[in-house]
Amino acid sequence: MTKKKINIRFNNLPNSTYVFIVAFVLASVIVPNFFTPGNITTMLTQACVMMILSTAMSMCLMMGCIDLSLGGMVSMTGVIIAILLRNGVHAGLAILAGIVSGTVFGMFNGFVVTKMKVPPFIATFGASGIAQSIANTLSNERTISWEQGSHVKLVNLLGSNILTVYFGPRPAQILSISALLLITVIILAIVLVLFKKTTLGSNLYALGANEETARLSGIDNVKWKIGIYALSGFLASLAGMIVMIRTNSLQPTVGDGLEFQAVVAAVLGGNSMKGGKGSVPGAILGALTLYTVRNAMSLWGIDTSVVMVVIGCILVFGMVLNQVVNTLAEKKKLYRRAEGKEA
Amino acid sequence: MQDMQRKRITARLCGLSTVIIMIFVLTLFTIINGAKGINFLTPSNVSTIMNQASFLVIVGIGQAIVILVGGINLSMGAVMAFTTVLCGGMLLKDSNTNVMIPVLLILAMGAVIGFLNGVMVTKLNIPPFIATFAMMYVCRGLAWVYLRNRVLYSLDEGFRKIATGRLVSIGGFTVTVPMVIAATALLVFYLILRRTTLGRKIYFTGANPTAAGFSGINTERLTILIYILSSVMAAFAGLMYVARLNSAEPGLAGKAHFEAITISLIGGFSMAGGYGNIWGIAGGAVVVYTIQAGMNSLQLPSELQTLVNGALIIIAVFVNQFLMNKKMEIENDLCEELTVQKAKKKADKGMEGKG
Repeated sequence: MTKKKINIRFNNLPNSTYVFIVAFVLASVIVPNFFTPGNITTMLTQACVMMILSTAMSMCLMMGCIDLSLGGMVSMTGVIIAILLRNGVHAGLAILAGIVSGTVFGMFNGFVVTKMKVPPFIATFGASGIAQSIANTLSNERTISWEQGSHVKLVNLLGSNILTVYFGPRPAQILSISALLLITVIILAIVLVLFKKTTLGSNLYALGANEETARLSGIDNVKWKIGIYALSGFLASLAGMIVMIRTNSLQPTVGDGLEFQAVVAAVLGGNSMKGGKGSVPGAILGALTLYTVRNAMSLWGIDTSVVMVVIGCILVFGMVLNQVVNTLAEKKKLYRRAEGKEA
Repeated sequence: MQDMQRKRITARLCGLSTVIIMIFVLTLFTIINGAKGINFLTPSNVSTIMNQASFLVIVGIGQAIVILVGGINLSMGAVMAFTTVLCGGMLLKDSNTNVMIPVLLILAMGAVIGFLNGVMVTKLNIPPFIATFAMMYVCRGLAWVYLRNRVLYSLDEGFRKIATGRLVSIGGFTVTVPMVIAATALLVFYLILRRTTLGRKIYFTGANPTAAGFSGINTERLTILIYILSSVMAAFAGLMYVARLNSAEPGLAGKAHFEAITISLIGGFSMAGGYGNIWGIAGGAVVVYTIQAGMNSLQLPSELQTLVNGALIIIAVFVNQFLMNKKMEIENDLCEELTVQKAKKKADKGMEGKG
């Protein structure tokens, strides 16, 4: 009995688990400086933003939409927070303003998609231009930095490490967990709990699989879509805040291309472009896979353009692997059903 | 009867949504520019816009045919850069090769990449968005790897004619070689799509791949063919772009695929596939470049231009969708009315016969 249970659990793992494990083990074996506490720290801190964005993207993909404005919103909210900080506004208020603006922008996306019936792909692409333009205009296309003072205490606090474990004296041997990582984990945990324990998850799947059926069975699709786009904007603004705190200054083009990385991560995690399928943990693992590859290859001294090629290949490989795993699972299901009938 | 006539005319008008958007954008920028004392609609300005749009028309056709079969091709910009960068050395002024060799090589490479795209989409069953996206990363990355930060500069003069050549000038309006190329391409694809069985098959496959497959169309082969055509068009557009810039570089046409998708949607193609008229591409390209030229002549700062561009794209696609839906509604109404009338006539005739 116990064996069967484990089997089922194993089948339910998101597909990106295998890609992630393969990538991680390969990186640890091949690249000498990869599996050190210091490097793991760096990698996790770098991956924070992408983990959040891929969560947002995977939820959009699940309901059959896409949000290409994530990168633009990261830039926009980051610039808004940074400019308020530069003007001496208290950090808490500044962050709140950033989050509110991101959420409102997300709602605008949802409005365009649902009420104006513009295809999500083009609506959010246009919106990303708008968000990026707001970021560029506000910042005059220059890097924003701010002076130290009592009002940025919160930012410094969020940027500090909350836990440091020394495995040795060298920086590579120090494992530190920053407050940002903790925040990311908490946010992701909240989203996952909401997804599993409320109707959020099932409604998203229903909307993605067949919007008309979902509407007829009593799901207010307009409300849900606007809500998910708002949530996506909210998560993007948190990502903007994290980027800003991590780099301690902000370039207005910081979010450029992040949305596509998020799509890659989400799709590696088993999300389908057509909606109705996929998992949030899978997307998070997909993000981790991406950053494992990037980090390992840059440690190995490989050019970023080669990394691009490799990521493209991994994407195709991951998709094929996803399908193989799916077909096997399907076969197993059929086999079991046949067995059950015979018994 | 009059009511029906009016409805028919409205349906026709709604069907011309791209033209309506085009006229609207042109008048808008003419008025705004006119208020500032700039004459926007001069023949030379219009010819500049049309010349610029011609480049995008080639990419747009490549994107539109893929959208017709329900796919999407994100690798176009990267294909443009990759193929021209790899063969750019042979296009240089001081290379001793015949220009036709690199041109043919570039088109052939485009075909190979398109074939790979098609195989990934059909045989490996990868969604088009992901397959072409991966191809975009691979091609763009390889282009950077091959050329690093160098730029291949000063190309063969004879070759550059395909982008800079001028034919005749009528009262300030210059007919350029790109315009002729774009018009020819549009005509060829119009004939293919509307006058051949291949075109019918493409529309059918886009509208309902399963039904198309059951009625004996080899949809897989057709899809691969479409992706090949799309990539060849991209490679050809790449040739035109490098000829215009007089240099080949790995960062070429970074957003070309997006521009192509935008003009396809403004041109009345549906993302779901199976619907659209190839002439809409010309309209879409003119709309995009009118917006661009209008903002340039107003001297808007570049960061604001992105904002206006984004907003206008959303609005244009919204208007298009709205008019299309309206047209469908009216046509459905008309259909119903016609059937009712026919039934009535039949009934009347039956009565007469009995009488």
